[in-house]
Amino acid sequence: MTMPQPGAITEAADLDGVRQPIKDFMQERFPALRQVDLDRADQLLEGDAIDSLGLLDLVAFLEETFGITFDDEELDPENFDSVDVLARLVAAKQTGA
Amino acid sequence: MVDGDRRFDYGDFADAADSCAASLHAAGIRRGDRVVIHLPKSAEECFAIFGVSLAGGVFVPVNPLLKAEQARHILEDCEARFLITTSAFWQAVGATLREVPSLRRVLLTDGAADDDTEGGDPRVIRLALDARQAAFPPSPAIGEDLAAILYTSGSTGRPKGVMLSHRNLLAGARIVTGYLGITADERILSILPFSFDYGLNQLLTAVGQGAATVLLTFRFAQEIVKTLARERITGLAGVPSVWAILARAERALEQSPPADLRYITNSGGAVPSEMVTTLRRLLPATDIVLMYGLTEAFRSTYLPPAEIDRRPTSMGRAIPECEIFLVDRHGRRCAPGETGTLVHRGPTVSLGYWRRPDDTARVLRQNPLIPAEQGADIVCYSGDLAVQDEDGFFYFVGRNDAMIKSAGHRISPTEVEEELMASGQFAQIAVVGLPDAVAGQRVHAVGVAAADGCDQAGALARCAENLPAFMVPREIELVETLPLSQNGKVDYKALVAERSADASRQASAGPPLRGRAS
Repeated sequence: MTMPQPGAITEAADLDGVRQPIKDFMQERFPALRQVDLDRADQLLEGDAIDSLGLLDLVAFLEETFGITFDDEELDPENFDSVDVLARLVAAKQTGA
Repeated sequence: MVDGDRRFDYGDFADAADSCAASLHAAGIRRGDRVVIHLPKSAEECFAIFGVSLAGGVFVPVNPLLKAEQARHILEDCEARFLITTSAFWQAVGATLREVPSLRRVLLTDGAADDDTEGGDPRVIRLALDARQAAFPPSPAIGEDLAAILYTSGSTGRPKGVMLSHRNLLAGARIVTGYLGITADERILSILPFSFDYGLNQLLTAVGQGAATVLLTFRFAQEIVKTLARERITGLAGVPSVWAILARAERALEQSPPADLRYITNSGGAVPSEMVTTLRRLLPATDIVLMYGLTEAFRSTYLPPAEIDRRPTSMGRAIPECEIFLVDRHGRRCAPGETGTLVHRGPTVSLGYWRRPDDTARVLRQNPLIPAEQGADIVCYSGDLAVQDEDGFFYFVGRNDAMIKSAGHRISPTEVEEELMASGQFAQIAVVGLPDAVAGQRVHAVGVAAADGCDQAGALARCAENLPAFMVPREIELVETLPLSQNGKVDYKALVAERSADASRQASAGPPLRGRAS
């Protein structure tokens, strides 16, 4: 019988706990994303669903909700390409904090 | 001109604009034909603007954020004969736009070069921008000819086209060049759309002086900060939301201070005085020039940087060559301290709204202070209420109609209301602008649910599909009834006032600035 690594369980649970609030916030704040499957979608900043003011709100939401502070270099379009990429960054920052 | 990794000198620029003009001539352009330009912010967009003018046409730049329906409205309204766009946009919206009856040719800046690969539509051709020594007859147009139509929203209906002559555009460029002291050494960062008169003016002043223009489409403040340093930018124009975004990049600005940034200018809404203070701290060596204007008369006032500490809430005094005054409802000049409608006279007063004589007559009127037989000129009634102090400085008071201004965009409530009503979810709807710390105003909808229920989320999703993000309400609030004014119409002022206590609390709290406890 193979037991999952305890660390892996925690990490997956953490990631889900981060992913869901991000998805909820984005679909609330950006109505154009309501039809979008955010588990799969990438290139989120390529379309015009998310404007620069909305991004400001998203960053403020993430910092407040998860008690993190983004470094300036982290506010890069690449880190906001998909919910998955963003959730991993947020989770990593939480662990590091 | 700098566009990403591409750099063009003025020889390249002139060749490309000539090439565009020759392409339009080959496609049959005539003097005064409207050419709609729907391109992302790019060097090609700039080449097209000048190419259309060289060919004697009228350029109609369209905000690239607009969706198919808004683009169709503009093409139909201005009776466009030509559309210059990208193959990606044409593929996305061609089905909607190809039915516009006046449209003769669609010129693509990229993609397939020959007719039959574009869905077999022979009207779709490639716009040549790389022909060397392109030959075309000189334009017969003079300064009084129509040069551009800029679409902008009012308090009702669909966007209207403000008609600008070559002389209007040249006056705007000359005036701004004068008071900002723009020279050939300038390196201007262009982040505002060229469909906005103030964004367009940056391009015209740069070309007029032989200065450099750096084009940028940004999402994060850090992108602006990096570009300021890397391109040694000397001048930046923005709207209030740009400064709210830039202020979050405090540490980036500390790490790579924009050493060459000589001035920043604001228009498209008032900058809160706390933001002015923040900007003064973040950019201690940069002049902050607050401006006010409206597309119908280009710019009207500016606050000289030396006055900003003394009068941080003022929109300044008349720009050179123009006179600005306030009139009361009887058309008399207001005394200092008295609120009145701001009136603009001078060489940047536009030619009115394209094919809308009634709307034009409301805005462009005979000078009320000079008798007709004594040479009264045509002046522009802004629709903005303002007050003047004893020293002649103006202060913005508000609009005397329901027009919304959010993040520099003029938004007509009725355009958003029509989209919401079309969702079938509401018996009644009213859209207003509520105070917002970042955007100036945010779009807010107040509705009465339809008899068989109301899917607010569905209505918002529909809005997001058909309208650009800046027009989509941030919230739809359901009420039992909408307040009515004495004449039985929806009372927009009451709707705003009822929510202003809450709204201003929210605005003053705002999202927290990114704290840097260092």
